Amino acid sequence: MTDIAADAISAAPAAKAERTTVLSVRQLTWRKFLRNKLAVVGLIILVIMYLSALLAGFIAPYGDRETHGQFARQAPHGLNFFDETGAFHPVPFVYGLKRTLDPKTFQQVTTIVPEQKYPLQLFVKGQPYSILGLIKSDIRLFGVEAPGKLFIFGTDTKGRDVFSRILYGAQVSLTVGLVGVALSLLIGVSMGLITGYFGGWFDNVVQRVIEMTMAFPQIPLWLALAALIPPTWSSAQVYFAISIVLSVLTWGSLARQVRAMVLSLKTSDFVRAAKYSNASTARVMVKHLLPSTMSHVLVIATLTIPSMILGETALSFLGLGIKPPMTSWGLLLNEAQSVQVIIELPWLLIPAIFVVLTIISFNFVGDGMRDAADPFSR
Amino acid sequence: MTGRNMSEPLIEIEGLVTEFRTEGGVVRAVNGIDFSIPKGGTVAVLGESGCGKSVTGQCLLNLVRKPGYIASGSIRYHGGDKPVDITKLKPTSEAMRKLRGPEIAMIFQEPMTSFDPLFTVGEQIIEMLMAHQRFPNRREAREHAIEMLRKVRLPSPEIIVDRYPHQLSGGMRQRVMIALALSCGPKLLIADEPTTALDVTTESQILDLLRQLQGEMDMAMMFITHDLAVASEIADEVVVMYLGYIVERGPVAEVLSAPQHPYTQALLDSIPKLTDSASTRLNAIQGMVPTPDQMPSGCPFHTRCTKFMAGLCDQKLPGLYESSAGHVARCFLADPQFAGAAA
Amino acid sequence: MTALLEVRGVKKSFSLSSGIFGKTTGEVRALDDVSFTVPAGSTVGLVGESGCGKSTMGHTIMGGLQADAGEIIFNDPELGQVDLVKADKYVRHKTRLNMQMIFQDPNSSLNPRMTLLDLIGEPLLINRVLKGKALEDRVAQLLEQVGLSTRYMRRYPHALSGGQRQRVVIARALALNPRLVVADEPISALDVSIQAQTLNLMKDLQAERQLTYLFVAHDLGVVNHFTDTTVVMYLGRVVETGPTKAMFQRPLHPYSEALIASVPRIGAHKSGTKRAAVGEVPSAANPPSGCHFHPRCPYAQDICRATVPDLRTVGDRSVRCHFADELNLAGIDSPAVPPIPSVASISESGL
Repeated sequence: MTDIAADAISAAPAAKAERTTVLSVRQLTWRKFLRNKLAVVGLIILVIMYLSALLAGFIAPYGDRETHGQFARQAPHGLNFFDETGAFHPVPFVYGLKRTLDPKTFQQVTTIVPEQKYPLQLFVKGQPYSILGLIKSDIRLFGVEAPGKLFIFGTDTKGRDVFSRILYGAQVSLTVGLVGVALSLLIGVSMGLITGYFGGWFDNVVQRVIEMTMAFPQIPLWLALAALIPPTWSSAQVYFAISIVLSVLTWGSLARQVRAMVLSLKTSDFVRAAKYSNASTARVMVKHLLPSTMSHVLVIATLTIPSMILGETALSFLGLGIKPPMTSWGLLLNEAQSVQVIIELPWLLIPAIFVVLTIISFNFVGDGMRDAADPFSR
Repeated sequence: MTGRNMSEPLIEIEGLVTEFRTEGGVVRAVNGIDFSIPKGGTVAVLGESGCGKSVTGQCLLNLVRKPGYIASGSIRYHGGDKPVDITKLKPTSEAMRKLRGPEIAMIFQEPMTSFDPLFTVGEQIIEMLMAHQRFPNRREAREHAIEMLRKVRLPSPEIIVDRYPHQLSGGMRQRVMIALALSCGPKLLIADEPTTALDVTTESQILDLLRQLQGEMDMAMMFITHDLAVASEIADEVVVMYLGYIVERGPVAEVLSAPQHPYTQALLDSIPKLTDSASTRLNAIQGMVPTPDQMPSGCPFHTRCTKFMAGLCDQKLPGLYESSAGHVARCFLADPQFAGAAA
Repeated sequence: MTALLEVRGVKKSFSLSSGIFGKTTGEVRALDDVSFTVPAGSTVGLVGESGCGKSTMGHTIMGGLQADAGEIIFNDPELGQVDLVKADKYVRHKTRLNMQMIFQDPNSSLNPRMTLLDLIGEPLLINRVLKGKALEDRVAQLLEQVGLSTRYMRRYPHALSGGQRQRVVIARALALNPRLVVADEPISALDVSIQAQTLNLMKDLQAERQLTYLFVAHDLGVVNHFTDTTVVMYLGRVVETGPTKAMFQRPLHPYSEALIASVPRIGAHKSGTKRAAVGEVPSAANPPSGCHFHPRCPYAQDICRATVPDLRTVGDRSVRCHFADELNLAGIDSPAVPPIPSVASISESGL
C-alpha cells in the first residue's frame, strides 16, 4: 500500500521534472545566452545589419552607383516634421535643393528651397535592383518624388548617396568576414582534429607552419598577399581572394585550439568507451570529438569575424582590397583619407560608425556565446 | 573526552537557514538546523551530496558563496570573551577575519585548492602566522611552521618547509594543510571531507592524526563526511542531514547502533560491511535524492521511505523527537505520542 | 569453472620524458609481471591503492593500452582461446563484442551531446547488429533492464542524476551482450544511497545474463561483498590472490592485512591506534628495491630489501611474500589487533 502511495507522490514532481529537464544542449545554451543582455542587444543589432545588407536594394533609396552629379559633396539633410512656420507635418518631408555657384568663391553652394517640400513616401519607384539575383524589382522602401532628393547621410565627392552606399558596402564588409571565417574554420578544424588525434611528424610540420604564420606581422603579410591579386580579376574573384587572404592568418590559431581540445578529449572516458565498442577513427572524430569542440570553435569564430571585418576594411582603405565598382565600408572610408576631406566632408566618416557598431556587437555576441558554450557550468 | 564538561558549547547553531537565488526561484540549501559543537568535542555532519552539509560548514566561516546567503538563524561562537553571532558579522569585516583562521579553521577535500602553487608550504604558513601577528618576526614564525609540520608527523619537516605544494604527495599535502589550518591554534576545525580523495591506508593515518592533534591542541572539530564508517571512527556526536534538514542527531554510538530515522537506518543497511556474510543483495534505498528545487512536501524523505504513511508524512513536516538523552530524530515514528497512539 | 580470461605475466611500462626533445629519462613499470585468472561467471576484484596499476590492467585488457609482454588469453565463444596481446585488428574487434567496460565517472564516460538512444545504441550501430526501429526497441529493452524509464530515451545525460547516468553506462556496456564486463570503480563516484542500488543492479544482471565481472575497486567493503576472488596489487605487482572470503579472514600478505585494517568501520569508534601501513605508496617511477612493500611493512627483513619474492601458490591462493608461511596476519574477524610481532620473534621462528 505504501509503495503505491509513494509512487503516486513521486509521480507529481516527476511530471514537473519532465517539463523542465528535457532540454537539449542547444536549448540550454540558448537559454543561458539569453540571460546575457549585452549579447542579446549585440545579436539584435547584427540581425538588423545583416538583414539590411541582404535587402540593401530595397531599403536604400538609391542604387550604389547612382550619381547625382549636381549634388556632389552634399551635407546630410534630414527629414523634417516642422516647416519654417512651425507647422507640424505628420508625414516628414525634405526641402528641395538648389545648386548655385557662389560668384565670389566659385564654389558650388546648395541652398534650401523652402517652397519645395517633398513628403517622404513609402514604396516609391527607383532604379531597378535585385536581391541575391532572385527577386528583381524597382520598388524601394522609401524615397521622395523627383526632383526631390533624400540624402540622409549626405553624398560623396561624386554625388553618390552615402546611406545607400553604406548598405551596399555592408554586403561586402559583413560577409567577407563570414566567408573568411568559414574558410579558416574548415581548414583550422580539420587540421586541429587530424594533428591532435594522430600527432606524429605531420603534427610537427603543421605546428611549425602555424608558428611561422603567427610570427609574421599581420598587416604587411595581408598587404603582400593582397598585392598578389591580379588587377584583371573581376570583383567577385577579388572578393573571394580577399577572404582567402584573411583566413590565411586565422586558421592557425583555430587549429591549435582544436588540437589542444582534441588532445585532452581523445583520452577521455567517452572516447575510450566508443573505441572499446569498435568505433572507427572517423566515427570517433566526427561523432565524438568534433561536436565536443564545436561550441568552443563557434565562440572563437564569432570573435574572429570582427578582426576579419577590420582586416577587409584596412585592406580596402589602403586600396589593396575590394576594388570599385564594388563597394565596401573600407572603400567608403578610403575616400575620407585626407584631412582636407575630413574637414570639408565629415559625413564621409559615417561608415566608420557602422564598422565600430558591428565589431562591438560581434564581441558582445562572442562573449555571450563563450559564457553559454558550456551550459552545464553555473 | 573523559572528565571534560561536554555540555559547554563552543558553537551553537540555531534555526540556520541558507538560501540560494536561482533562475527557478529561491532554493533552500539549509533548512532551519540546530546543533551545537561542544568545546573539545567532535561532531560529524553526515549526508549525501546536496544535503547542505558543506554549506553549513561555509556558514560557520561566513563564507557562503554567491548566489547563496544566510537567510535567518544564528551561529553563536563562545570561544572569545563574550559570545558573538557569526551571522551578524559582515563576511569581510575585521571581526570575521579575526575569527577565520585563529579561532575557526577549515580543511578541504582537495588540499591543492587551498595552497598557492607559487609559494613554498613554509612561506604560506609563515604568511598566515604573520597576518595574525602571532610572532614578532619571520624567523620565529618559521620555527613555529617547522614545529607545526613536525606536529602533523611529517618526516624531516626542515626539508618539507621549503617544498612547493606540487612536490608533495596527496597524503603529505593533506598533512601540510592540517598544519596550516592549525598553525594559529584554532578552537574549532571544520574538516570538509578531508579524507575522501585519499587512499584507505592514508585515510586511516589522517584520521588518526586528526584525533591525536585534537587531544593535544584541545580543539573542537566539525567533521563533514558522507562516510558513516569514518563518522563512526572520529565523532562523538553525529548530525545526519537530508535535503537541508537535520533528520537525526545524537551520540555517535547510539545513532549508528540504534538509528531512529528511516533514512539513517536505510543508509546503515545499504553499505556493504567487511563483516558481512556472503549476502547476495544489499538493502538499497530506492529512488534518488530529489533536487532541492523539487523539495517534497512534508517529510523530505517520504518519497523514498519504506515506512511512508500516506496522508501524514507527505502533509506535515515531523518535528525532532527525542528518543533518549540528546538523541533526536525527525520522524513521526520517533514521536512517543504517535507511537503510543498507533499501538 | 573454465577461465574466461587469463592474464599471464603481463608487463607494461610508460616512459617518462622531459625536456624539449622528449628525451626518455626513466620509466614507470605500471604492470610488472601481472598474472591472474577470471573464471567464467564469477566476479574477480582487482584492488589496491591509487597508482598500483589496477586501472591500467583494465584498459590493457580492453585494448586501450598495448602490453609490452605477457599474454592475455580470452576464451571467445566464437574464436576460442585468443591472446589479446598479440591479437590483430580483426580478433580485437571480434572479441570486443564479448567484453565491455563500465567506467568510474558517468559524467565523463557519456558524451553530453548524445541522447540515451544514441549512447546506448552506439555499440549496436557501430557493429552493425541492429539499426532503425529494431535498435530503438533494443535500447528500450536495455533501459528497462537497468531500471530506467523508456521515456528517457531521447534525453541527454545531463537531465539525469548521477545514479541514473551510471545505469546508462551499464546499459551501454550490456548492449552487445558481452561475456566479460570490466567495471572500473563503477560506484565510487556515486552517492552513498545510490551505491547499493547500483551494486544490486550489477548483481541481478550477472545472474540474468551469466556475466563475468572484473571489478576494479579500492573500497574493500564493496570488494568483500561483491567478489568471489580478490587480486591485490601493489606498485604494479600482484601481491596476493585468492578467494575473497578466505583472504579477508586471514590475509597472507602484510599489505592485504594493512588494507583490511585501514578500512574505517562502523562501531570501531576511536578504537585507538590501528595497525595500518605506515607512510604512503612510494612513487612508481622509483619503486623500492626487493619487495616493493618493504619500507611500509612491519615485518620486513633484510631479504625483503634485497630480493623480489616470487608469487607462490599456497593452496588455492597465491602470495608474493618471503614470509607468507610464517606470518599469522589479522583479517576482518580480529578487531582487536594482535601486537605487532617484533622482528626478533620472527627471526627466532626459524629464519
